Amino acid sequence: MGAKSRRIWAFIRKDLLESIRNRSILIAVVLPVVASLLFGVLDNVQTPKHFSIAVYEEENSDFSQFVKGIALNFQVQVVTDLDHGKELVQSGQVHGLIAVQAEDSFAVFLDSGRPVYFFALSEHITELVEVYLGLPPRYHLEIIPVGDTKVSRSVLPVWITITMSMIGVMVVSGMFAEEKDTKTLEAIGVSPVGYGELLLGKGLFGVLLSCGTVLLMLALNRVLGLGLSGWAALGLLVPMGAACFTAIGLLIGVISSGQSTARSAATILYFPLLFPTLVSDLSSVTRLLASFLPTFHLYAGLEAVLLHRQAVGGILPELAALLVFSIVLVAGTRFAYKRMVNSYD
Amino acid sequence: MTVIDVRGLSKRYGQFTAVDDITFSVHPGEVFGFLGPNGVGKTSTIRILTGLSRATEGSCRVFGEEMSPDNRRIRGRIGVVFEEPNLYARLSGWENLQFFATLYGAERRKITDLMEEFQLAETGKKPVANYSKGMKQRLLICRALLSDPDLLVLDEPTSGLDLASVELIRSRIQSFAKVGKTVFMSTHSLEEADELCGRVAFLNHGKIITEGDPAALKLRYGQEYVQFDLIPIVPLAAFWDGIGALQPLKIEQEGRVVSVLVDLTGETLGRDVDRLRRVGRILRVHSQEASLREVFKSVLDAD
Repeated sequence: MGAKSRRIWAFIRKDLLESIRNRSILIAVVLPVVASLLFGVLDNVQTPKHFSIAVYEEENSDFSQFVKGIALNFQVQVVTDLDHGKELVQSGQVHGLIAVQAEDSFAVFLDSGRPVYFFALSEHITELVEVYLGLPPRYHLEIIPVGDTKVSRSVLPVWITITMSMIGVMVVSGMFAEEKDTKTLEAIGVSPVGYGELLLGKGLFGVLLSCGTVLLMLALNRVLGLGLSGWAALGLLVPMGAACFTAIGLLIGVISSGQSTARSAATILYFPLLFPTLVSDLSSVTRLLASFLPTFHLYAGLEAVLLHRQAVGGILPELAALLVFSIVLVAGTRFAYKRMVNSYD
Repeated sequence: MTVIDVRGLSKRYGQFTAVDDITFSVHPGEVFGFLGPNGVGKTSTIRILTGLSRATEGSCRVFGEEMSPDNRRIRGRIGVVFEEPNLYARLSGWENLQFFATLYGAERRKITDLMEEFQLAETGKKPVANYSKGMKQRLLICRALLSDPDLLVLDEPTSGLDLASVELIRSRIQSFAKVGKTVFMSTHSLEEADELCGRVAFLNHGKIITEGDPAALKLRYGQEYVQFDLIPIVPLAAFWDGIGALQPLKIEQEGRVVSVLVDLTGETLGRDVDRLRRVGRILRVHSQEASLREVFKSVLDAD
């Protein structure tokens, strides 16, 4: 490793150590990871297929026997008292109670505290009763899901990846401004380190932090089975997006007078960076406005890769746009830093 | 060859002139003191000297190179200690030095040696946030010495430190200069400058008002004194009349012993001694050299 590479690596290592020991940065990184864990749990939630029900038969009926015989996913408990059956539902011991009032009259009590079971059971019980009474089906409707229904194939990881790629705006701006406040930047300024090495070192730290966190979040959301082409696309898209946002963070840090100004500016800027992309589908105007932000192109690219399984070839316009943003922002940051150094004091 | 060569240097911030047309040079092996009260342009000069800031006018050459924020060629030869402890508080002392050692291309062994020399080896793994002011200042000196520099620039290196830290730092400055390396230091402490500096420059309102070897400055601007410690041998009223007639610089009394300070350079010294012997018994006589503080005071008065 040459002297320049060693110096750049020293910046990355130093900033990493500092960020690990900085509680506010740690919270900014850890909170979304924890949230992601929760999304990962959501991923496991399937439509319920097994139900526990109570059956109350006022007259001598074979309904409970019928259910036991035909619906194997129903665990049936026969009750002799209607109120006792209701209590079982209320206390959550069964998901529902079917009261057979007459040969063709039924009352169904369902636990309203469990909406998923409520809707699933109401549909299943209707079907059961129809079959029991020997009614012909009124119509045939089949809903066929396209793709799998996991959270990992939803729009959620796309947004998580975007917000994690934007960590650089908050973290890097604050850390750079802190170096100004504590005057450690002056200690670097009197060393043989050039502007380029300093900015590159700090920029790479931001990109690596963003990419590392994105990777962790994707893993927690089980978005790992993308295949080689998908990972290659993601491997280009995420660092390029992270580079744009890290450059914005550096720019804020460079032009801010201190840490508090930088953190406020980064927080204020976060929303306008994100919002136009959220509403970009509203009209052609909002779409045009959003296209002037890197977030929009990162979103489009991630949507293509994560939802529609596109490879690098399918996201070339997004990559090109992010590359242009990166170049412009890095050049702007370098220019601002040189101006800051020349107007020091 | 001069290590530092400053010619007609000025630094202005808008309408305010911090440094006003100063010229001086510093030679190899010298400890050069840049003295003066707060806000006279010491730190502004140091910022230009270390390449942190640009001069408004004039030139500032270090090792023959014009210093500016763009010139990084000779920075590895300069060690800088700032007035403020600009260290990474969340990192340990060792990690701070390790980071800067990489920036300067210094060896790892140097970190261990310096931490031992400055009595920081035991606390080296602790975060700098937990260090005392003296420990932070010693760490700053370690950082400045990491690259084995030829020039050490120190901005108030011992300000507000405990005696042990002050002694440690001062002795290191002396040993640094003894091997032919150069020290440029700004300080409020005229006693420190007196002890360490081979040459000093006094600043006031951004200008150098005098410059030279401290001994020569003392001769030129200072007053030498003789202190007589005596006990009265005449009635007290007559004793104090006799003392008052001498127009002494200072009178102090401790118990029966009265100390009288008179000007050694005055032409009436012989006559003064006779007068003292008439009113009291002289116990001790001390001669006192002028201090840099007195030199500075008289230079300021003359300015």
